[in-house]
Amino acid sequence: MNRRLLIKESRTYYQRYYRLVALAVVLMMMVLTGSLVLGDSVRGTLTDRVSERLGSAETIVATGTNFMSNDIMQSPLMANARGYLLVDGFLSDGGQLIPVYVWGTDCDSVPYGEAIINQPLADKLHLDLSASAEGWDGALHLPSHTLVPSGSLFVTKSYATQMRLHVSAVKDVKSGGNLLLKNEQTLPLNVFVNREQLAEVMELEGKINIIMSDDILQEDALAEVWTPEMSGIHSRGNTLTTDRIFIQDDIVLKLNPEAKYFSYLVNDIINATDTVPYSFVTAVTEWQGSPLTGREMLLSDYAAAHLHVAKGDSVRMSYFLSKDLKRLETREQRFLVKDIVPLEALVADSLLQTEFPGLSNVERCTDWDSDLPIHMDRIHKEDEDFWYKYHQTPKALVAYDAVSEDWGSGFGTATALVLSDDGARDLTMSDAGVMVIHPREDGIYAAQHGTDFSSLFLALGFFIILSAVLLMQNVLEEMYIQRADEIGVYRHLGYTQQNIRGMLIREACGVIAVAATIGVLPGVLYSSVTLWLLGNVWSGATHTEGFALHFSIVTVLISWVIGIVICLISLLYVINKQIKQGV
Amino acid sequence: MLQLNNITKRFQDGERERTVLDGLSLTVDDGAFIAITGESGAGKTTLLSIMATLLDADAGVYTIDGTPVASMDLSQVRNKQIGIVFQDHRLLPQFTAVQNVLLPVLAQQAECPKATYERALQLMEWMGIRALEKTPVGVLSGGEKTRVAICRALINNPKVLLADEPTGQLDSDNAHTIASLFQKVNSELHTTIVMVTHSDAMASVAHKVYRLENGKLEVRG
Ligand SMILES: Nc1ncnc2c1ncn2[C@@H]1O[C@H](COP(=O)(O)OP(=O)(O)OP(=O)(O)O)[C@@H](O)[C@H]1O
Ligand SMILES: [Mg+2]
Repeated sequence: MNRRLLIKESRTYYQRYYRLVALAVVLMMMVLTGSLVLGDSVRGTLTDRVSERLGSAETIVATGTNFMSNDIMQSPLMANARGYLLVDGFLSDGGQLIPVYVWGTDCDSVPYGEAIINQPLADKLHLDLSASAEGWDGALHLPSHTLVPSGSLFVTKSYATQMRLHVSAVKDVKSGGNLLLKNEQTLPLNVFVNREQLAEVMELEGKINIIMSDDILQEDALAEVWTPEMSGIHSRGNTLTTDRIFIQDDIVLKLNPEAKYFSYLVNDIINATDTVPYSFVTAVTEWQGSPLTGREMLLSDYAAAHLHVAKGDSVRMSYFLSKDLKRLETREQRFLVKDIVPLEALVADSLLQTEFPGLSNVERCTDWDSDLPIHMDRIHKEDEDFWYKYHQTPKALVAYDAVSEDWGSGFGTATALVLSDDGARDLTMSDAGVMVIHPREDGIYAAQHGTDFSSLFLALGFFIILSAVLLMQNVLEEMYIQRADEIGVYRHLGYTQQNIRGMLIREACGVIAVAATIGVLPGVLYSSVTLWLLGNVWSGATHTEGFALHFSIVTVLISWVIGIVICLISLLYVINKQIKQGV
Repeated sequence: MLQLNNITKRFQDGERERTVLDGLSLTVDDGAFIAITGESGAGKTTLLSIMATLLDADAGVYTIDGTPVASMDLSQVRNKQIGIVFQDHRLLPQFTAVQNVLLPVLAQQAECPKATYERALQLMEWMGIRALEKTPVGVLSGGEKTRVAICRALINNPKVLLADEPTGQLDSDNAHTIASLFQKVNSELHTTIVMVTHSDAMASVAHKVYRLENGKLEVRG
């Protein structure tokens, strides 16, 4: 005979109460464990997804809107790195265009003309490549002229470049099919193509814009192997131009050049009734040693002849303001013809000429490919003849300061620079827009420290937990009221309050502990069902491809302990209340 | 020796106050066997409850062997010095007879020594209920319940046995048996007995009989 036996007998005798208590505890544990496991699962899935979308990459070198020469991949630093030419594009499937990421890669031995897609894209296309050996044929629509950032003035934003491809295989998640650089939960739609083919089609031969390395590369180490030339910044002698045409203002400011050049396509140069339409004009701070200031202009003899002006006359010039390309505004300025210069002298100076993609590389003005509203009917034979002979040779030079505000934009404020010395050496990678990112830590940090899903689900289940606790408290209270006499008897027989409280607690704790342990199972079930709902029925609300159950013993243990603590607190509360009333 | 000195006990009865015990004094010598009678509602249970330290007096002093109970560890007093048999038995239905008997033992220790268990069985043998050892008390008859309650009151060998109408619900045969058992307890175990009873048969076995009236005790025989 001992107290344990008494406790056991009492528990059995009052089992009709304890069955309800157990039910309440199981219910509470179900929601509690379920919520915590749900939180774990969401976090775990997001963490997995970080690994999926980054593959094994520890370092990403991104070149922003610029490109980088593939030569950098020859560096020993890049032993475990892969260079990609990554562009966005559209895959046409029947009538619809699917936005995709196009990865030009050397690594996946994608043969010329072939393409590999990832599983989400295959799902989207309803492709089952394992079944049909033939593969799938489609066309990619790629952006035109991407060497110059899309959106810059004169550069078309259209996706006119087409690339036919034959999808031969699906790249699964494990082999990096879901590569994605953005820190997003949605699964990307990826097309992997032969890099050389993509570069050829887009006229980006030898260019890449993403490097992914399995090593942790520091910016300093990369800076050792990087040269401005790799980022398409060309310095010949003391001049500087860039593949992206427009030299960004911070580079201009940093290099503090001796002379600045800015080529522009102006709408009209006008003198009274004579007009020269659509001419290239270059703004210069100085030319051939003499500065151009105020509203001064050097006019080519070609234009002077057409406009019937002489040195000392003034002409008007109209052009689009480049600040807001959506609301194209035209501005007109009057310039003083400081001198008439021979066109040959302008042809001879290559700094004055800029090769705008879509404009420079065509035979005739009417072939110009630009998003600007160019009225082709205003272009006459003499203009075509000029273009055929001299292309983008400027017909006039104007003072840089007079137009730089109007022509400059975020894309740049010059098209060529003359430096006092070899100042391009001072340019750093970040000046050229190259970013070195260590995405894993960031991504995992974001996945782990984003929304606290455990709390979220706990909040959603709060009322169930509360109801369960209240149910338990009510049942216990009812039982202790029933047993008030019994508590009195113990006191009369010489039991201390502690004795009595201890026995009642042990009696209920046995039930609570067992029920809490049993409750873990429906808890895991609860989270599985919720995860299934989130991935299927409610998938619209989450914009993800569902979550996998991530279930750790520690979490279950934590929820078990939390559950027990909650139960103990409510139990103690009820018992103390009852014993006090009994005194 | 129990001594009650000028004990007063009042109860709030709705709006007005009722004085149930009014300056009552009583001395119970060791080994005494006294019976208390009185009309229903006279305050007999109240008096017994005060003696059992289950109720505090509003005025007066109650001492056990010269020490005021107010300064004593009450659970010790209840457990060791005083055994009590309630008017309504107050057995716990979830336990067997022997478990009920052993309840006071487990107030002081978690485990009941084998010798104590044997003692419980002896007591039950003595009371003629040895065979009911493992019977749940819910199914026992009134007389059997009283006997289990007496065993429970005696298990810790108390100096004083307080009994509140132990034969109240019993037929006269049973009442006689209980009366002789009390006599046996008093003479053989030398346990002081204070017993409340309506029954003359019971009162006749006591050494001294008091009547409780108007909050005071009067000696009757
Ligand atoms: N806790 C209490 N609160 C209020 N009044 C009480 C309380 N206990 C007893 N009384 C009152 O005190 C009076 C004495 O009660 P008590 O139980 O002592 O009588 P009794 O002599 O034992 O009667 P009986 O022979 O019927 O058992 C009664 O009128 C009763 O109503
Ligand atoms: Mg009574």
